[in-house]
Amino acid sequence: MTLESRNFLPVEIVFHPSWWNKQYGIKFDEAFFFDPLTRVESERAMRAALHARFGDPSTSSGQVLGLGEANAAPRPVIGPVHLAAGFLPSAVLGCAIKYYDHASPEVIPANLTDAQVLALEAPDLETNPAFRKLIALMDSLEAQYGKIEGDVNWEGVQNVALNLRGSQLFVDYYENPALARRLLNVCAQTIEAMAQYVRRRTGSNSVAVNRIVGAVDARISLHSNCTVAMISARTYREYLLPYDQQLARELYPYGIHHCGVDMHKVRDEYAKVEGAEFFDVGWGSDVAACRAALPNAIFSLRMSPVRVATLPRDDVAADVEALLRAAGPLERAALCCINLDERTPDENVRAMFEVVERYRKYGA
Amino acid sequence: MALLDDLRQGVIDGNAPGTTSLVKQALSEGTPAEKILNDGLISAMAEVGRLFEAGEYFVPEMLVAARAMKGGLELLRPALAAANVQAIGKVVIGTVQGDLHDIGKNLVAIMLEGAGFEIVDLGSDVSPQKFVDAVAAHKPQLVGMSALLTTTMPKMKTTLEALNAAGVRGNVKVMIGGAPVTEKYAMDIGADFYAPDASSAATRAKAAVQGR
Ligand code: B12
Repeated sequence: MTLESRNFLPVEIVFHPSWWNKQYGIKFDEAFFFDPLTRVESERAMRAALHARFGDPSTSSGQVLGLGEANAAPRPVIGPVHLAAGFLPSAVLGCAIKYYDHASPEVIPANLTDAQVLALEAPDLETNPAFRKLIALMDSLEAQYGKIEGDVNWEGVQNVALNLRGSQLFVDYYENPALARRLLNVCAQTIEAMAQYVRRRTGSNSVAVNRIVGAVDARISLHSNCTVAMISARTYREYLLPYDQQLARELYPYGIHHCGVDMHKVRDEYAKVEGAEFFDVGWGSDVAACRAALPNAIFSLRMSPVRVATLPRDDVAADVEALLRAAGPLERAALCCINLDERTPDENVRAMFEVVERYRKYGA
Repeated sequence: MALLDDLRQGVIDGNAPGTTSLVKQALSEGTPAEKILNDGLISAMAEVGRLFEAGEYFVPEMLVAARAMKGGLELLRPALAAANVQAIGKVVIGTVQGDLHDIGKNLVAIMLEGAGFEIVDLGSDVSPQKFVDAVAAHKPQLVGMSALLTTTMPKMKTTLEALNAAGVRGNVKVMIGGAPVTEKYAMDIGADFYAPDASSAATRAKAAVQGR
């Protein structure tokens, strides 16, 4: 099977909570995530704001950004699809969560002891207190609207394991491999169950991992490998590759989110994940080298939010061009910038869209 | 000396039991503690830093090497004290207020220790006042601040202001680092220097104390 993108060369942006909070007063407290009324109203307000600001037909080049929704009406969106913040799997496995008005929820590391790791089991989601909050929200919205949509970020195997065990996990890789594997297993089982549950009920599970998934194919399960940047290709092969392979079988169509600057480091390993047909390619990665190893995959090219926030608009345009030129066939490319903060000039966002529009019209 | 070469390799390989037994053996054979420190442990950590910079070592390899080094150092401490070997300087280090990321800061502390510094590690989420108090109490030559979040970086400036206000800024050199931090940011907020990774942090810290 080969995954095709629903749209030709889609582009998406996600603003950081600080942007939303400062510009539109959106608060990212617990109610934002789990209270049915607040949930639906926040998503509506976010769609309306994006439309007012970037939905217009008159940019400097006269082209449509088309973000957000005109006359946005309430919709039963069960998770934050204009955000990139994973915390629920860690909460399900016992980490405390701290909420902020202007930032994503923070996972408090649990620093589990050896004995606690040995006692940890993948919980039954239906009775897990942290997951019950999501189920209650889904049930309530479904009762009211007759359907539900959207999803929640389900993080990644090693990301969650680090939240639970801290950097001791890395020492375990050398000194107690059996314990490390036990913890990774529990994390993998838990996130797979969550991803399955949510996709079964809403049809997607990863728009809240990266919005671009919605524009490419909402069925994609995007597994977060943020912390693979901290380990070698050999450690990835030994400890994590088997989970990517297993999850790709269970959750097809599958994607890997590698936000680190070094996806090329593990490109040959990623090529061994059968069913992984979508890659979120971290800014700074060698895109051409990744393309050579993964000729048929769809690449979501990640811009650096810091550069887009701080560089002159021409430099932002140049970043887009460099990515698109390195990415190979444009039918198998998408562009995104995640976590743009409150410093970001609107014209830099427009610059991204304008370059993409030019490539859509004229090719590389 | 073959024994010290083995010791050095033990640290590089992250072999903690091997490292402690080789330190014991070297001491029992009468090797001066300072030589064990310099040619075994410090030399090993310099190589570990090089491997990390070269992209051959990653965080797990650094952490296990660090554990081996620390085990060896604990055994050496009494002998070093008896021989009156001085640290090359003292560093107060911490991750700034609101920030829990401490892996990078720990690696920096390890490389500094491996380079011969005495470390006062304040941990993570360290308030400006705690930095000020630690400088007053420990009289270090250097203060190191780490931040991994763009939202906590400004606390570096706040901490510098607090050191100024307390009248102790002039007694120390301040180095900063962490993924979002840059040389330019260091200059903008009035820090003394920046380093992009743990091994260059050690090199620059050494230069800073030796240059004064
Ligand atoms: C591990 C990690 C965590 C762990 C931290 C565990 C721990 N005990 O440290 C946990 C899970 C707790 C965590 C939490 C959060 N994190 Co985090 N985390 C990371 C991650 C994956 C790796 C960081 C790391 O350890 N790198 C490895 C070390 C070795 O590198 P380093 O820290 O850069 O250090 C090196 C140099 O910078 C330098 N250095 C470091 N300090 C110093 C100091 C001095 C004096 C000097 C000279 C040099 C120096 O030397 C070091 C060694 O070479 C990064 C992503 C990434 N790939 O970087 C995100 C990242 C830093 N986290 C991020 C975020 C958003 C968060 C949370 C807000 C997420 C959340 N919603 O829960 C919370 C915030 C918690 C808090 N209040 O601090 C963002 C920050 C975005 C931003 N622009 O601010 C990142 C970049 C992820 C992302 N792509 O969005 N995180």
